Amino acid sequence: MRVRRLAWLCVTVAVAASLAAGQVRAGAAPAKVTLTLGVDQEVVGLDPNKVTAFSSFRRIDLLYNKLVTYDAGLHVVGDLAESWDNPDSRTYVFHLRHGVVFHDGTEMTSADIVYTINRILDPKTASPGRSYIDVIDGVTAPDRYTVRLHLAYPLASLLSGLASGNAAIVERAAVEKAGDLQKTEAGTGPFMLAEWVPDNFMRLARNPRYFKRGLPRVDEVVYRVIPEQASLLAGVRSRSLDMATISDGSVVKQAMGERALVVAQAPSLNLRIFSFNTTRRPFTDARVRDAIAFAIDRQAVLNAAEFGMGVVSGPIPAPDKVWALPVSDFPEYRPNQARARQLIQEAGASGASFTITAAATYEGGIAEAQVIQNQLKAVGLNPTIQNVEWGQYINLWVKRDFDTMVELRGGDPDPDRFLYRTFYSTGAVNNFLFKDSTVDRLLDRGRVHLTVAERAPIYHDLERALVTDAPAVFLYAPYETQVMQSYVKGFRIVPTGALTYLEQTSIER
Amino acid sequence: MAAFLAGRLLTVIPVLWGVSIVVFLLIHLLPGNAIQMFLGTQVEMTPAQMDELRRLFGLNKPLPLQYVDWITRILRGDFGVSLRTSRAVLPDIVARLPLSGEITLLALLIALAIAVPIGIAAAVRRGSAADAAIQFGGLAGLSIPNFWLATMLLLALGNVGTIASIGIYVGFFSNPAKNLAVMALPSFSLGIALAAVMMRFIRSSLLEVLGHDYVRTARAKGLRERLVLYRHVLRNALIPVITVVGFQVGYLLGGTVVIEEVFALPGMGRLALAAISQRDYPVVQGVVLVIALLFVLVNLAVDVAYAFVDPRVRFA
Repeated sequence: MRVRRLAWLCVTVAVAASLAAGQVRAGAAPAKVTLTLGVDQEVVGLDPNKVTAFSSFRRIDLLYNKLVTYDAGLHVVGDLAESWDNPDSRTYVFHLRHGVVFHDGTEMTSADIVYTINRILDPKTASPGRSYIDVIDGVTAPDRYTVRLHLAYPLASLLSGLASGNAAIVERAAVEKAGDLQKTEAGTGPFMLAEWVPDNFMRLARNPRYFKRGLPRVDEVVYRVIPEQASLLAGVRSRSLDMATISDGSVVKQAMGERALVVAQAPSLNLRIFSFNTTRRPFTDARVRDAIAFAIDRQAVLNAAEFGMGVVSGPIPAPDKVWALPVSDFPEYRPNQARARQLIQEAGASGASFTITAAATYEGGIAEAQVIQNQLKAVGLNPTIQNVEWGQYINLWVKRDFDTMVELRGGDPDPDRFLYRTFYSTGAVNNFLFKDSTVDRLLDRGRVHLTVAERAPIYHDLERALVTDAPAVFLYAPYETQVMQSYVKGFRIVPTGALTYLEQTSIER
Repeated sequence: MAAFLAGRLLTVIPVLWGVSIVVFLLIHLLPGNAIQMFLGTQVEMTPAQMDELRRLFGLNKPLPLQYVDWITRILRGDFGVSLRTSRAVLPDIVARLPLSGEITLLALLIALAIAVPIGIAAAVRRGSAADAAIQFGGLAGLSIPNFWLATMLLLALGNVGTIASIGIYVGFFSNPAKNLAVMALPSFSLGIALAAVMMRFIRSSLLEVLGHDYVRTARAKGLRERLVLYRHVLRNALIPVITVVGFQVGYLLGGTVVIEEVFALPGMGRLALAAISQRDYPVVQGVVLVIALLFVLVNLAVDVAYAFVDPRVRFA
C-alpha cells in the first residue's frame, strides 16, 4: 500500500515538474545567439591606451572605437569622427558623430576625446601609443562635437596613429573612477565586457545602444583561450567553437581538408625579414647584403616555412597596395646565384661564417632559418643556426647582439609609421644599426606631404633603395587565417588583424 | 608515532628552503627579463623609461638582495604581485589549485581502476598469452607521451556523447556533471601512463609475494585460490604500491602543466608556463614553491600511511 502511494507521488511530481518546465520554455525569449571564438593567447589587460600585446587589441577591437579606423581595403574611414578636414598641413579638425553613448549610457563628447589624447601623451601613462602621436602639441574642443588637433610639424601618419588600438577613446569619468581600465572597460564599441575568467573565457554582451544601427548581429561573443593550435582545430571540429584564429600552417592544412569548415585567409601587414647587424663583418659591406638579397629564393622560404601561406613582399607589406610596389620591380626578387657569388667575391666575403639567430615562437621561424641557411651555403657562405628560447631571443634583439636574425615585424598601413621607426638612422627599432643618408632623406620627405599622389613616388624610391641597400632581406607577408563553421557569415579579415568585422558577423544555421 | 611525525615534519623546512633558492636562481639566471618580455619587439621605449620600469619592479637591486626581499615576504605569507598582471600571486594560485588537484586525483583514480585488476590478472596468468598482451600494452602505455595521446584523443573523438572535447571549465561543486565531462579526457590522458607503471609494479609485486612459503602453505591447507589471493597475497603485495603512488602524485602534478595547455584548462600549470615564458618572477617562484610543498606533504602522508600499515617502519 505504502509503496503504491509513493509511486503515485512520484508520478504526480514528475508530471507537475514537466508541465512547469514546459511552461518556462514556452514563456522564454528566443535563445541567445552566441558566437564563440577560439584564440591562442590570454590577455594581460584591457586598457587600450596602455596595452602592448596583439591579443589585447583583438578584444579592444570590439569594446572601443577610435576617431578613425581602417577598412578591409586599408583606407582610413571615420569611426567616432564623421569627417575631418585640414585647414593647413599642421591642423586637423574632426567632426564627431552625434548621439554616441558609452556603455554606461553617458554621451561621448569632444571632452572625452581631448581627455584620451592627453592621457596618451602624458608620460606617466607610459602609453605605447605616445610615440605615434607625440607630434600633437595642442588639442582643443571648440564645441561639444568638434576636436581640433595642432601638430608641431606636418606628419602624414598621424591618422594611422589615431587609428591604432592604443588611441581608442575612453570615457573620462570612468577612468577617473577606476584608476585604469586594465580589468574593466569604458568604451563605445559594439560589445560590452560581461564576464572574464582569466585563462578560460571572456564573454562580451551586445551593446544595445551601439551607434551603428542594426549592429552587432549576435547577442554575445565568447573568447575561448586555447593555447594549442591542434586543440583549437579540435574545438572547431567538435563545434565547441564557431571560429578560431589559427596560425600554424600544418593545422590550417588539416582544416582545409574538412569539408564542413570554411578557411578564410588574407595576407597580413606583418612582414618576415632576414635582418643584418650592419656593424658586424661581413655585413658592413652593402654588396654582401645585396648578394644575400639575390641569393634567397623568397618563394621557396615561404613554401617550406609556412606551407606557402603568404605572399612574397617588398619593404612595404604586399597587401598595402596603396604604397607597395609590385615585387617584379625589384631585380633582387629573381633569385640569381651567379650574381650573388660575384658580389660576395667582389666584397672578399667568400666562405664567411656567421650565425642566424632564430626562435620557434613565431610559426615557421626555425624552418625559415634552415632554408635560408641552405640557400646561403649554395653561394659560398657558411652560416650556422642559433636556435634560442623566446626570452633569450628578445634579450639578444634588445641588445642588438646578433649577426643575422630571422624576424617578424608588425607593419602598418601607413609607410611612414612602419619604415621611419625601423630604418631611420635614429629609429627606435632600427636593430640593424643601419645608417644611410639617402634613406633618411626619403623618410623625412615622405612624412610631410598629406596626399598619396605626392607621397607615393617618394616611397617607391625608398622601397628600391631599401631592397638594394638591404639592412634586411624582405621576404613575405604571412596569411592571417580564420577557420570558421559554414554558418558564420559576414566576417572579413582586415590585414591589420583587427576583428572589427565581428560586429557585422552573424550566425545563419 | 608523534615523535616520528614531528621528525618528518622538521625535514620539510630545509627542503622547501632549498627549493626556494634553486627556483629563484633558475628563473633569474635565464636570459631576458620581465620588462623586455613585456615590451616585446614592437614597442619603442627609451633606456631611461626602461630603467624606471626596472626600479618600479624592484629589478634594479642585486640578486641576493632581491632574494632576501622575496623570502622574508614569503615568511610573512606575502607571495607578492605578478609583474605581468599586477594581481596578487597567492589568490591566483589558490584559485587554480582545485583544478590541478582534481585532474591529479582523477588521473590517479583512473590509473588505479585500470592497473589493479589488470595487474592482478597478469600476475595470476603469468606466462600466458594474456599476460604477454598485457605486458605489451603496459609498455605501449608507458611509451606514449601524454601530450601526444591528448592531441590524438582530441582530434579523433571530437564530441562523443556528453564528453566535451574542449569544453569550458566549470568547478566541480557548481556543476558536477559538466565538470566531469570536461575533465574526462584530460584525466584519462594523464592517467594512462601511470596506469601502465602501476600495472607493471602490481604484477611484479604480486609475483614476488606469490612465491612466498606462506602462500604455498595457504594453498596446501586447501584454501580456495580466491581467498589465498585476497586475504594473503594482495594485502602484502599492495603495501609497496602505496609508496609508488605517493611518488607518482608528484609526477602527475607536473604532468598537469602539459595537459592543461593542450585542453585549455585554467589550472596552476598554465599559470606557471605563461609566467616562465614571460619571466614573471613572483608567479613562477610562488607556483613552484606551492607545488614543492604539495609534493613534500604527499610524501609525508605516504610515509605516515606506510608506518601505519607496517609497524616495522614506525619502530625502526
